[in-house]
Amino acid sequence: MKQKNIYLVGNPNCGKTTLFNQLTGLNQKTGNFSGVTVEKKEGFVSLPNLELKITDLPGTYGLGGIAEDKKIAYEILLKRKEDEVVIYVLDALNLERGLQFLLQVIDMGVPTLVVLTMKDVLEKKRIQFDLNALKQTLGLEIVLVNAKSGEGIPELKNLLSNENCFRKQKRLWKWEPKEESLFTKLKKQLNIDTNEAEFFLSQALKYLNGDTHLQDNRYLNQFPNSTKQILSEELQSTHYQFGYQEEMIHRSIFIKKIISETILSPISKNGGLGERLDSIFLHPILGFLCFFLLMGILFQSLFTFAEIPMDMIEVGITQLQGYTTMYLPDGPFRSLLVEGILGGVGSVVVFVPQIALLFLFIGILEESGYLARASFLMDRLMGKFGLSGKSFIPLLSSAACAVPAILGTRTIENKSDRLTTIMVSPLIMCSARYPVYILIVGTVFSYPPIFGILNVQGFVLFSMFFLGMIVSFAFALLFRKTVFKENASYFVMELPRYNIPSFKSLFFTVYGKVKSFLATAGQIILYISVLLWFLSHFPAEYKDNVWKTSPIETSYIGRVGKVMEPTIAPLGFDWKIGISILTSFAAREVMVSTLAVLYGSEEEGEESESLRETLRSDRRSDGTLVWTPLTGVSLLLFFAFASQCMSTLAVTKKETGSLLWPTVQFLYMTTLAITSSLLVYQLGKILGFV
Amino acid sequence: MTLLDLREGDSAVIQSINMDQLPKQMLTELLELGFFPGAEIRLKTKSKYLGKLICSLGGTTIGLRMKDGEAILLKTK
Repeated sequence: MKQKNIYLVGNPNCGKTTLFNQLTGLNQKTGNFSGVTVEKKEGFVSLPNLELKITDLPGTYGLGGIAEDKKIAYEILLKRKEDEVVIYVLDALNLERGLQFLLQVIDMGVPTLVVLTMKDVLEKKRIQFDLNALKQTLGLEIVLVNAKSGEGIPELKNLLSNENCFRKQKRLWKWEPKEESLFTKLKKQLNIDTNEAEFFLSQALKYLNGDTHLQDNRYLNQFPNSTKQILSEELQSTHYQFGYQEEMIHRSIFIKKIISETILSPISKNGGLGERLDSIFLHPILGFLCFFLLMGILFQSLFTFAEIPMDMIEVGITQLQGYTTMYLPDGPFRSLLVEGILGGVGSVVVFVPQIALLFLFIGILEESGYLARASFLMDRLMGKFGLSGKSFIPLLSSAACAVPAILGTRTIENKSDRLTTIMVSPLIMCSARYPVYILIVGTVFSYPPIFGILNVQGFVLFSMFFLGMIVSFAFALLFRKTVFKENASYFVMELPRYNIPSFKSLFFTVYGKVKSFLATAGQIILYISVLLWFLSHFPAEYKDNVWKTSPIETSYIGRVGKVMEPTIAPLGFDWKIGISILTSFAAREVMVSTLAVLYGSEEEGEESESLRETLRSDRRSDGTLVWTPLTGVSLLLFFAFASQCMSTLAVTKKETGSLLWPTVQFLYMTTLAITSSLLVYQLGKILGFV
Repeated sequence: MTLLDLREGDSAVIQSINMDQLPKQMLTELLELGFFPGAEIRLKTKSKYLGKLICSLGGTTIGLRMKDGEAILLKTK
């Protein structure tokens, strides 16, 4: 069957992703655009005579986008193959800006079909809309849909099976007469007759004219030297104004005309629910109150709702390990399967409910239009640390996991802001630190509540969260003042219309993200788990037909732990803690299970009282207790700052496209961890704490 | 007159953008969001505490920093 490649193009918040989810459903996959680090969403639609491959390009306002994701949308349109086409998603309530970008796409000579969204709002607001007039002026097919309810989707699919629904159109707007006549003259002189060639000509002219928005000479370089000569001579002889800004101005004149012909009743600009909501959400006091309330609810539910499925997954994995142990003969293979593979995979899968919930919440906040308001609210605070409000959401999502947070920095246009955010995100207390903190805090701070109500352990946990935030902000400022000095941070952002999110569409989005998380992070953790398993069970010997693996104390990793004990003793750690720190470099939560193995505890969990009891009574060779509050604090600081997450480093490499930044990230975080642990333990000892 | 001088609720037409006052990357972003000479702009809210301006142009609502508002010059009617 024939396959057709379609790109879904449009402004941010135009309903593009909802339409994509409506069209493709579960039939989608997430990957990367080749060579770059932007997430690529592809979906498939089967029609009776044709299969459509639809790629959802990042939403952008025009072809001059600077952010990584916006740039890629342009590059793909520029380098598309002859038979690839575009569905342009146009928001009926935001025609002015939507048409600006549509006219740019038309100018590039891309065969286009327009899907007009927000049918429901048009009808609700009783806006008289002349669809036929719009079709005629643009010379394109236009389908009116309600992407949320799916109304109009069958008609759209029907139309898509017809090959001729995608149309090319010539440039519809005009330059100023002087520029236009030069353009016509040049076209004739150079034999330019296709839209694509005309687009290259206008880009070359803008470049030669010294346009600040277009400093890319590749269009000019497509032309032979003789042509280049002609173009520069023309521009030198007379003063012309070819520029992106002039282009926008002239398009907007044309667009005003289209709109006056299309929208017959004016859209009221004043009042409305949106403005009333903004007066609350963007209020200097109420706004912050609402924000903290929302975040409070978010995090509470993140932990309470996620706990049930997380427990179920844990039980499931344990059972699977049980069955495997029962049915397979004892030996290294069983051990590899049970402890290495199942244990490793389990440690990733267990985070799926939390990650899914986080993406769901962020999706709701984003689609409803609140996320932009939160960035707006936080911009002033973030500005004090050299960042902009756009860095706030990624930093906030780091509280669940730095991996999706780093992926989320793609929306930050400013490169220095983006790199800084990537570098400091892992300092925020993530969900993988919770099991570790809970174990440490539960072991060393078993005090009765202060004043009978204030839970000491809860207080320590909260302090750790606060510490992570402060330190990450401080380092953001440091990075911004030293390494990433250029590109002063700035903030300009659209505050989109408030919208009730489509849950069907959200479901597909979350599903896609979780799938891609499992594929990337899961793989790395699996490899590391197998390696760690090997290091903690070998050397092994084969005697009397059975494999005898080493107990962890004498395994490779155990030996390393003992060798390194003198170096970590100044931090207050013994060799067992040393080993658990080594293994936790794969993923922090592995620390708990390692300690459980080392102390031979039956129960593994961080809440396990028997493990805590064993830890509390453990003594060093000189008879002193290992797990004192001072060791606890030192260990907490170590885990707060050390870069102990392979997935984070992998995703940093992916997103920055170089090995340099993950290396810097690893080194600065780990140095910070060692220094602060050392200082606290040594100072504490001098001050007489034990 | 600059955007910062506009009173809440008032509209004006953009005359030019002072390119030297703004980071280069921001200029293209502003342009694509609809800030170009001739565009009509309405100041919705001026929030001193947040250091922000909220304005509407081309049918959309845009938020930006107060100090950047100074770089957007308006035609006086």
